[in-house]
Amino acid sequence: MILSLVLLYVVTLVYLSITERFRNYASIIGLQGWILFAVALLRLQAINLPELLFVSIETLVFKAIIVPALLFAVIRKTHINRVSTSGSSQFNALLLSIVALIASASLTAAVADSTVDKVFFGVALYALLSGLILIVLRTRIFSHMIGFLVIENGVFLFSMAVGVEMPFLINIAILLDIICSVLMLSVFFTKIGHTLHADDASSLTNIKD
Amino acid sequence: MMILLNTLLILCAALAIPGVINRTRARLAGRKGIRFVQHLYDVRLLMRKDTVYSSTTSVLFRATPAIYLGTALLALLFIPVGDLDPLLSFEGDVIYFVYLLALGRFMLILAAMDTGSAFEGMGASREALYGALVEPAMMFALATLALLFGYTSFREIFLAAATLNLHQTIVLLLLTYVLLKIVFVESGRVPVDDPRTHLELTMIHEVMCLDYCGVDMGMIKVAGWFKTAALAMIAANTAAITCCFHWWLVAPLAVLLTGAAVGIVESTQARNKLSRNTTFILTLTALAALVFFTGFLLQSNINI
Repeated sequence: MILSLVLLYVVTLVYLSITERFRNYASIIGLQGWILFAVALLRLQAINLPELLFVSIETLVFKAIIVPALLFAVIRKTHINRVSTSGSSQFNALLLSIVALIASASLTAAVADSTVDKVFFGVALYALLSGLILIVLRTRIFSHMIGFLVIENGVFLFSMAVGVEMPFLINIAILLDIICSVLMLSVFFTKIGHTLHADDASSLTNIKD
Repeated sequence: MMILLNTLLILCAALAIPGVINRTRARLAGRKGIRFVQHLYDVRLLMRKDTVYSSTTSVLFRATPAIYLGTALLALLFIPVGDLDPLLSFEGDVIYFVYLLALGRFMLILAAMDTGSAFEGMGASREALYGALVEPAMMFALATLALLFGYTSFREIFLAAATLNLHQTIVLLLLTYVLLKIVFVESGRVPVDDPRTHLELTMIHEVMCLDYCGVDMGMIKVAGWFKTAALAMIAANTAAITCCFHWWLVAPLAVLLTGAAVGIVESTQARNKLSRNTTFILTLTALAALVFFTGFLLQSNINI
């Protein structure tokens, strides 16, 4: 069961690199939240009940419901829909994504030992690299935010790769991180965006003191 | 006897798949549709016609249809139908199968360029690009089968696949999806290519065959059916391993799965813009790589 969920999670990462619309980004982030919730429920049964409840409910509420809802609200408010107009950036992103997948799998097979769960380690590494690829290749700030969320999800999965005690601590940190970043993005677009019109990172270079 | 039955079944599947596609498309459009075997009548008509060759073409152009048909037929004979033995089989035939398909494509590309036509050169260039992109996906898919079952022959792979655990079943179902998508690309179907298009600028596979007619055109069409059937049978075998691996299930599954899938996609989806095709095919490679590495990690006894 966990393997099918993990595979589905990796498929969402592949589709993140080729999708062109921010609505799809937000939907995929929501789907990843649901997958992580299911994985957390199945995987963390060894920890005590209050911690399990905290981790799973926090994952469900924030990663699967609140963050996607905030992202959709930002999309509705700002009317930013497309990542870019040409199809070539998707091809390059996918190419890099495949390289990242191969690198993650090779590294996992090479370095993981008996204390580290190979599947979670490999998928977490791939998620981290996918987030970085999104941030590096896309110019719009919204994409950077998505890349950051993907990295956070990767860190959450990574915490599962090294034992069942870590997710509780890491989730508290991630919880603050995600909420702050999405709120900052919302404030940026809804309050500052009217004056600055800076949804593209490259336009921020024009800002002067 | 079983080998003969295997060969007959796979040939019947090759002839039936285009009929199922046509019938599915017609039903979904609310039409009665053409006869189930209309494509066979069309090819019979082509076989009766004489061939005309352009004066600019060489012997390469004339030999290509026969080579293309020969490679497709030879590739088809390596594929088992469920638990039956194929006509041809040896250790490493998985790689040989891919090379046979690649040789057929290579010859068709050369023949298209031999005509000196700008349109055919354009089609050859597109076919080469898509072929280069889809071959890694196919190699990853077949390598996954070889990795999971420890053999490099189709016959051995599918015979060894008697006992499966849940993890292998999940990997094989995802692999079936990838193989089915590869069928779309290799047979030049929507959303990658549209065999019914009449505009040369948007053609991919069809534009390479514009200078062919008569018997040559008939051979190219039949070779396309054989290629589709070979890949469809691999996909059906992979799907059937997970539940009930018998020839009486695999043969109809290959016809229905591919025929219905292609028919439904052609009825419900538009063709991709050409610039999107590369991304579409590369996505298949990514999924195939994912399946391969999951299989690889499964082989190293991970504990989930």
